[in-house]
Amino acid sequence: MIKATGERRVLLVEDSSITQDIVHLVLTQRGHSVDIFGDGASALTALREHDYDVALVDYHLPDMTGADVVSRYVDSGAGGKAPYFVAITGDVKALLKDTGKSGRFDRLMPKPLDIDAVCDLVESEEVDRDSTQAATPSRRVEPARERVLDGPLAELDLAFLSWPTSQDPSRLVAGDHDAILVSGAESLPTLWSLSGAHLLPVIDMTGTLGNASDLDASNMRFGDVERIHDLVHAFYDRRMQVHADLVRSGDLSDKLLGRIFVSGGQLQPQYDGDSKCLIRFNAPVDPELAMKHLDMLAADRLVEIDFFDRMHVCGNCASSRFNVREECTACHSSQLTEESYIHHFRCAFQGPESDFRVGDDLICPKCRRELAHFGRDYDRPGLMVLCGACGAATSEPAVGFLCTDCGHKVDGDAIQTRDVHSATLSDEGLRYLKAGASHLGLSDRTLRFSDLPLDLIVTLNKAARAYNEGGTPFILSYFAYDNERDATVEFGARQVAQARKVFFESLGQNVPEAASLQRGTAYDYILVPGVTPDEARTLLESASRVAAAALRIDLRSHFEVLGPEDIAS
Amino acid sequence: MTGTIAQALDYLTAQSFASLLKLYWFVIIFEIPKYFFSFLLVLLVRRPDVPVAESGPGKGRVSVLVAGHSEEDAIERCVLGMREQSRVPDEIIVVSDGSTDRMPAKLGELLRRGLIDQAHSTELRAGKSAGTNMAARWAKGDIVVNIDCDCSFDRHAVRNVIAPLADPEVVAVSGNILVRNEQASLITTFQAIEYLITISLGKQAADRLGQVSCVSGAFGAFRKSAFEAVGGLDAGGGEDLDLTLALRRTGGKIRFIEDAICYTDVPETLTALVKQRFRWERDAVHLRYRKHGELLNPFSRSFRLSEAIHELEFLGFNVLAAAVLPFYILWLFTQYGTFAFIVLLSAQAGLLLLDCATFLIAAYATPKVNAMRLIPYLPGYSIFNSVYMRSVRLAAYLQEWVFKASYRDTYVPDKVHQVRG
Repeated sequence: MIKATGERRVLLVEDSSITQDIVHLVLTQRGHSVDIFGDGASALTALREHDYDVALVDYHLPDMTGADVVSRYVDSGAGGKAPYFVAITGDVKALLKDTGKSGRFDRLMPKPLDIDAVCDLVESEEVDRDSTQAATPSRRVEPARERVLDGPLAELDLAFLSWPTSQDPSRLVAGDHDAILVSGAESLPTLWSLSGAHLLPVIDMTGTLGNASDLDASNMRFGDVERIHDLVHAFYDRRMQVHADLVRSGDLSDKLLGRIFVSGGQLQPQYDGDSKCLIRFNAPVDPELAMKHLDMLAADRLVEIDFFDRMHVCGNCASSRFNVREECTACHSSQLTEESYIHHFRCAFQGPESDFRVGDDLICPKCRRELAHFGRDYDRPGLMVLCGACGAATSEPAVGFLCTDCGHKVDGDAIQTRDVHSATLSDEGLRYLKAGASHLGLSDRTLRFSDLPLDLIVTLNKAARAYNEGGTPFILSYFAYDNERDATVEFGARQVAQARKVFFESLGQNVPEAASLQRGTAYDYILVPGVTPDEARTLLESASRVAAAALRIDLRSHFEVLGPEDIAS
Repeated sequence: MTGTIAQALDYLTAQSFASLLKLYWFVIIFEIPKYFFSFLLVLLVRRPDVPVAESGPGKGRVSVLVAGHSEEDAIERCVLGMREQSRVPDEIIVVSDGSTDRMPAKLGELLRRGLIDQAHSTELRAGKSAGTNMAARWAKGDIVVNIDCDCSFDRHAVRNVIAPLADPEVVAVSGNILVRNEQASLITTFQAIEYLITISLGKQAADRLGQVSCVSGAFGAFRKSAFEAVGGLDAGGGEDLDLTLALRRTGGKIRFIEDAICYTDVPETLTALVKQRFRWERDAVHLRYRKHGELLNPFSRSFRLSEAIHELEFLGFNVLAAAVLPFYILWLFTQYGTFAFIVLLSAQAGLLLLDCATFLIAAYATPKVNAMRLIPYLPGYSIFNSVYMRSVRLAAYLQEWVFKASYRDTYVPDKVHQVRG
């Protein structure tokens, strides 16, 4: 399964055998060659001797730090193509503190390693570009950390991302930071294009963002530092609960959902005359797009929405900024004036006052009598509206909407409306946020290594080696329980967990002894060596029937079988 | 009893012509000529030419004027009926005359839907005259068609009603009014017969003579210039008759077109009918002999023989006939005792025959009417009309003559009563 980008030479410098196993298994299955070294010295030797496309370097090595490996390689002025250096670390802060050295890395990858992200990176064009351009180390990306902080924010031991940034946004990963400092309001709408930015608190340094930011730090006062500290930590705690699927997702719906959760509140609209929609949300997001996605989220019942207001919408340019006024029904002019009718009792003439008006007197235009006494000769039965543009008269002027953005005119009864809602996370949305795509049943066929239990990966790696070397087939199967959530509501979590355990144990008694069973959170896994996928399906079919028969609760289990080829892809 | 009747009939047949005249003078003077008018005129006199109705837009713009008081429910059907016309009006102007329901809002809606062209609403009621005048004030057409909210119209009603106006001498055209709710009660069935005879046939006869007296307020077309020249409608009840008389004074021709058909709901109960007729008859007397009395005065500048004859005809056959009837009956009983019953019965029988004949002619002369259903009700109608309704009429004339009761009519607002001419 080689991708169009071609085969890559990858160097992995990592002392953990599990990480070695995973990366090696996955990358070799995808057609890349992987050299693995457990210490910095041998890695440096390999780097000098071979041209690598990508070097994945663990920060904490037995003999030196990852940063040392890179800086020694660079400082030695080795010729040839420099690899794309990726730092792997569980301690991003420590790496960032290592000023001067950390800057040598092209990318940071936090631990635990997301194997899918590693694959994506290795196969991305980003790697190509760098390996050709990065002839001199000095052109390497500086770490994204804001260095020029002064004042109280500098006291905080936090990684701030300054926005707008002079750096290439596509190279930045907001996830490596703790908060975003916004110093230019005009750049706000593009902030969320930065991967992971939606999960960080936005701190307003301009004082103009209003509720689009989480905190206004333009005029810092005593106690504000503490507030920032608390805010960042609150976001951090909640961010850690968000499933990797949603952290990575580029879909605005997912971003909104994540944002609602990490901000710990709701997505709340507010009137804003500067916006075409006349509202803005308390997040740096285009309100029109946000409304569209909120509707979709509400339809999926991932958020609960609450009516805020109904807006009129221009059918031409989608603006909500209108001049609403009474207008002539005949010519749509708003040049209207009011005049009262006069009813002359004696001769039944009824017309506008101007018909009667002769200087100070009121003379009936029909019978030429003077109207002398209000209530006895005449009265004023009502008001009419006269159009100054076309002369028409009516007592029922129309209401017209004039779009101030595009000049489009719409009648009052034809104008479109749009309901604006605030949104809070629903229970369903919260579950999705924590369980990721598997919650929605979207990932039944796309098992991710990052989701697998570690023990299983080790076993899987052994089986994969046996397959590569001796051609021994194996299958990995995972069991999903469709009814688990509903059953939990009905029988309680403990009962359901027990049932699932019993089911899986009894399943284990009906499969070959060589099979290895692993219980996971979303799925339970079985790895059976020496069988083909078709044989395994028949086997598991009968085994799961037997196991399910012993249960009081119907978990509605079903399984998928992956062969060696499936796993590599 | 049968014997008595046979005896009486023997007596009657034995009478000479002269003594029959003496016996039935009332019928001969007040009833027979009236029937003859209708009979002969419609059957024998050729209908004056009506210019061929054009199917395309007729000459001149047509403005339809509707003035209604609290007609929220009726107005939409009325307007839709106008939109269904083969000659769609160029303009529909609706006035809500001090409505207390949601009629103004309804007009706004109709305006937005483009079903009407102008809507005017007042908060104080001014009466149908003032409302219609206000609509006419804004009308841009050369012809104004005045209709009632609660009427419905045949598809060709507008086309037919405006056709005679192609003759420059014609200033107003009356449409034909038929009863829509004829099956609602016995009273409405009688009125259906009455409308056929008095309006459909009677006005056709009058049309032959150039004597159309009233362009109905429910459906009539006017040349706008003539309408404006007399100042439109005047205040007070019977404004449609008032306007027609005013137009007659100017010398314009008034026509009646039987195939411009409009249907209206008539009163369903006797009480409502009597109330309506009291109003009509009082207004007729008030307008003809108080307001337009000059038409009868040979020394007035407005005097013209044809108008005088027209007024005298009404005076004779309506007012005088109603006034003389009690004296005739009294006279009969003092002269002949119980034999008077036989005389009246036989007179009634004779009238029934005449009524039947008239009815058949009316049915024949009225397009698109299903008259067969009404035939069984003719005897009842004959008595009801000649005895009961005539008494009602008499009472109304007396009331107007003696008490000027039309000044206290609730049909127009009090403020108008106090000052109208």
